[in-house]
Amino acid sequence: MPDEALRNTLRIQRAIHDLTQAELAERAGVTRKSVNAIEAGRMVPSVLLAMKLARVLGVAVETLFILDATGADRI
Amino acid sequence: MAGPLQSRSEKFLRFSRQSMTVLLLLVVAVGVVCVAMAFHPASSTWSRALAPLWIVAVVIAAGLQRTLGGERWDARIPEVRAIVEDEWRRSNMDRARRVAFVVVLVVQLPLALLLESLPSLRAVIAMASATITLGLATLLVVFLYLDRDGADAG
Repeated sequence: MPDEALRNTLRIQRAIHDLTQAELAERAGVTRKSVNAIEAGRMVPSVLLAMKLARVLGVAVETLFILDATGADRI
Repeated sequence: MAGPLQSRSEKFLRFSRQSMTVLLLLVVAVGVVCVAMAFHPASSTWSRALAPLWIVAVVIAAGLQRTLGGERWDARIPEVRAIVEDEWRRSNMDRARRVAFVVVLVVQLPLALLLESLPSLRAVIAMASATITLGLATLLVVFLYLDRDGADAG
């Protein structure tokens, strides 16, 4: 079975939109701790939260979270 | 725009952590007094010790409320709802709950051996008090550790 991992582009998308973790968290209705944990790859968000984050950042969920066989930012 | 809102959110987060720390201290204090009462039921010192504890609890609760700067912990406030429904905090609470459950299971035998010398009713009271105290204290300590500010630095 291939070694798959979930990679995310949250930090990049945040930078594009010039948002801090706290600002993104507030808009998505979570705490900045959740945003930080997702960014750092320590937490896999629920589908609901992933979609909320994607909506806030104006991108598709697949842009934000990428299933990667090699996986940097592995979750 | 985000400035005041951000600090408001942080204020509620800080309040939540402080409340849990106070709850931890109260749980430990009440638990220690209950176990001590089971060992020395004749002494009235323990029951007298519980009365001021409630006064201290009320004073601390009032002090904590002041840190919110006139606001109330209300689930209808978006920042409070975000904290209550936060996925990271929930996953930390689940992990803390699992650790507390294992700790409670593991300590049963040592506790039983330790309380063997007590009369059965007092041993049951001591065992129940110690189990509840240990379980709740472990839950709160592990949660506060996982949810600490250093854990999300990066």
